[in-house]
Amino acid sequence: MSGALLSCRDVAVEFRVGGKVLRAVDGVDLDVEPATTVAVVGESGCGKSTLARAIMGLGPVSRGSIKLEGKELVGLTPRQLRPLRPAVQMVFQNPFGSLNPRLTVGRIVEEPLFVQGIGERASRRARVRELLEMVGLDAGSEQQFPHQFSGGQRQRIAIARALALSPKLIVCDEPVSALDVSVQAQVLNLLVRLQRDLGIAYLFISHDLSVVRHLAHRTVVMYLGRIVARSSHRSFWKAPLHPYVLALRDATPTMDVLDDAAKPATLVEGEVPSALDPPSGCRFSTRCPYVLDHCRAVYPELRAVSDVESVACHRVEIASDGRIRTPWGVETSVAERSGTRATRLEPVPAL
Amino acid sequence: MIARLGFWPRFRKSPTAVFGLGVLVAIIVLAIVGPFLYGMDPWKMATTPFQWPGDDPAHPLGSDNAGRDVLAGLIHGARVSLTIGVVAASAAVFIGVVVGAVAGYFRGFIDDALMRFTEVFQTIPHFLLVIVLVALLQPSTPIICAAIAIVSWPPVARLVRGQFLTLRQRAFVESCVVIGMSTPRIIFTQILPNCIAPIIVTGSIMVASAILIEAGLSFLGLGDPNSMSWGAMIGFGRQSLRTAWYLALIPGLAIQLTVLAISFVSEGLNDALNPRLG
Amino acid sequence: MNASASPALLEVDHLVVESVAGAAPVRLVDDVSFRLDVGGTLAIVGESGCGKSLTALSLLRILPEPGVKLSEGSIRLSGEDLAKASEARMCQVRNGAISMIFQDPIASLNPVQTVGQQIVEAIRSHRDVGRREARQQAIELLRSVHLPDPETRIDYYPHRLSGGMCQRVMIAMALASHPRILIADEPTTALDTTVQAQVMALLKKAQRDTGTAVVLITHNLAVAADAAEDVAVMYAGRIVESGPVRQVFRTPMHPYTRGLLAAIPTGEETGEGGEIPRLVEIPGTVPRPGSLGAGCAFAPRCPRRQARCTEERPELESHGEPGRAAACFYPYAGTLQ
Repeated sequence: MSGALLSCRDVAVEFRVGGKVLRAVDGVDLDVEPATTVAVVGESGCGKSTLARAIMGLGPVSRGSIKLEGKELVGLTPRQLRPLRPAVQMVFQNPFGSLNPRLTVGRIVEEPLFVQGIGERASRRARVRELLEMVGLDAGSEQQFPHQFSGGQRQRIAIARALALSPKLIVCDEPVSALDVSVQAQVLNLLVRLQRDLGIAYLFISHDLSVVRHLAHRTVVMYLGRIVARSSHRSFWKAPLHPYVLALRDATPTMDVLDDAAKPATLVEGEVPSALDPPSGCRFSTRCPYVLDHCRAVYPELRAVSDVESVACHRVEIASDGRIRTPWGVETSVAERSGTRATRLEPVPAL
Repeated sequence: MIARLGFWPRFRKSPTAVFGLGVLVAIIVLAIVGPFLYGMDPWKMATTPFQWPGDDPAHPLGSDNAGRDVLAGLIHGARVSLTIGVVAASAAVFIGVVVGAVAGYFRGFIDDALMRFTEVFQTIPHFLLVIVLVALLQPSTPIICAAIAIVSWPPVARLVRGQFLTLRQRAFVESCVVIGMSTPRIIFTQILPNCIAPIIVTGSIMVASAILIEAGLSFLGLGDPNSMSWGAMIGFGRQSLRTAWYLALIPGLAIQLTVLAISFVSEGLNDALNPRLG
Repeated sequence: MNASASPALLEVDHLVVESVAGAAPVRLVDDVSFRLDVGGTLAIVGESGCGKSLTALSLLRILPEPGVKLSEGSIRLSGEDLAKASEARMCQVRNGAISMIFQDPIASLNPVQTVGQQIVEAIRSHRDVGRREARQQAIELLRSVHLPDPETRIDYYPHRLSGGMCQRVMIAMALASHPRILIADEPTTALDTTVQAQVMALLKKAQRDTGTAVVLITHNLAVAADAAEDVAVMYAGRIVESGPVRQVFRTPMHPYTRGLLAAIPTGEETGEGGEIPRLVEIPGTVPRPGSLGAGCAFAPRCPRRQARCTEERPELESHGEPGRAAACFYPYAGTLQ
């Protein structure tokens, strides 16, 4: 996709553990368009955080290409990477560990500008004030220290710092997971507003389905280092085309449970297998209620169901007339799952 | 939210720390101002030997085996001990921080190599190594400081390495990598300031141990022959321990008091720099 | 709450837990009352700092003393007031009549003892059985909580087990003594999504099989909706609303409950080419313990605040809805908009 802001192709991150190879990320293709939110969802061991760190240059990349606005990032030295840094910034999960406790908030937010040699003291201070206001913190915060703020406020500070270099993409690694529900709402609203006003794209890592369903334009689901489903269609969670997506959805309690709706028949058993020793064939085969021998023998590559959706599952049948059927009762068609009108959200128009 | 008092209020809370600080300040003042107030030369044979304290008002603490004034020796000894203590400890901390920071930040092969190097120094008996070093080169104050520093730096290195290993993985350090901060800058502005507290505490304890090592050296006659140090004074009194035991006792008490005071201050620093809740 | 005539299994009345570390005592749990029936499930929900965990800990009298203490109130377990019981009696009650499981399962287990050793200890502390017999019972217990391959895993050390497996072990240990009440403090927060569902299903099944009553502490309202019959919503150390979970979450009376529910993202698109809907925010932040004024704790952030709210503290009242209660002078009624 030529217009993509971030373009990952066959990205792999491998570690040597004992004598074995741990493939934390095992061949991932991912695109993020400008001013959109791509959510990466998965459980522990799926590689979503490792992927995020690889993109940010915080972790190693064993193979593959990561291109930012067409420029290759893999293989660059830190010095070469430096001028490219402003375009992609990061917000971390833990609001209590992501700010230097010894620096004032003003210094923390100013630091990116200082390090990149932008402006001089006066203009930087002005920009810091502007950023703090943008995230909803008052001017007095500049002189205070992180420990004087609550978790939600600290995430705002972290967001202000991430915005300092006017990035085009912000990688958010579980940014609201450690926050209370009401605070989470504040931070999510802030992120959405910033996307609308500044045209920032987000790569949003999360395990929380309700948050992902709320703000993702496109959702990518990972399992044991690989993408098993990718979609920007509105029915992605309502009528899943992958058993793991179905399992995740059914495992997440929602308020709908109060409405006497039919409860899910089976909860998936077992746990995520060790990434050191992934199952042969489809990695979900050890837990999948719809597994066949073929699934254990042959790995299901990601195949396009429509122009906005791909899944990696043998059991999804796509007939020649475009009808799609699954053993878990989803019946739809390629036409229904296609096209921009049926997608989740409209991307913010490019600035 | 932690109610952060300033450093001083927290330090003041501990009576032992305040006492220790008071004693230390007194000793420092004595060392600086003493020679001017009490102008006796500690090396001059001022009076008859083996005078007990109180015998002669002109020599309040008596005289030693060569007739030298004990009080003058005490005052000059304070200067020597404190100087060597601080300089040696500072050098040890400096070496330890450099080694520990590099090992902890870069990890991998560099870490392994540096830690093996550190172990070499840790496994050789400290005092023996100091004696050997001082005996090989001539016993002057700078050499003594260097020798003490050379045996004292390993614990600092290990401490700093541990701190760096932990802090390096903190999100706020990673957020500096992400904005393009250079490695030296990260080490100096992000990580080091956050592990200063244990370094200061360890450093202060090192001053005490440096004073003790120097005292031991001087006692054995391996100290700087031009400095009248407390250890040397104890050495002079060694032969006459049964008859003129005050010669060993007085400088011995001085060393003990100083080390104790540093200990108290160190503990107070630890509590003040790492406040615990409730 | 079920306003049944029969005596409740657990009745907590006017519970006060204070922090006495500072100059003046600060109320962390402020006059909390609730009841739990035999075999019932009560969820205590709220955000961080609301006092829900402390409330749970005080039922077992395992507060972090000396800084925090239970200063007032009664905790009646079938009539016996645990707040006044001796420490020896409480030792019998803990993991006896009342068991508890915690948030971080791996940290809750002793890392230097095998799983088997810990369960056997739990079994033998309440029953007079020999070691061999206890080990057999332990294996059966592990099987009943769906721990795969219990005969082998019983000799594992905790670090070899995953979070989900450790939580199963914790549940097994907690149920070993056939407790009448099981307190679960955020039992699934540290676990993966699919494992969370398994553990919650296990808890429900265990409850059905043994008739144990459950007190579930959680910040996740959907988990409470799924697992509990009754719910108590806490804010700043006080219960602001209580009642059957379906009614409280569908037609919340207290503005805080309403605000919490509205803040949860649902992922429902708003029609064609939907813009991301704005989540309803509760303005302001949770007050620090000890900084509360005279009136309602929620008043500074409440959209329905009137003069009376800042002067008088509202008590829990049913406001005409039987079985429900809200601590508010101007509660909502009717459907959630």
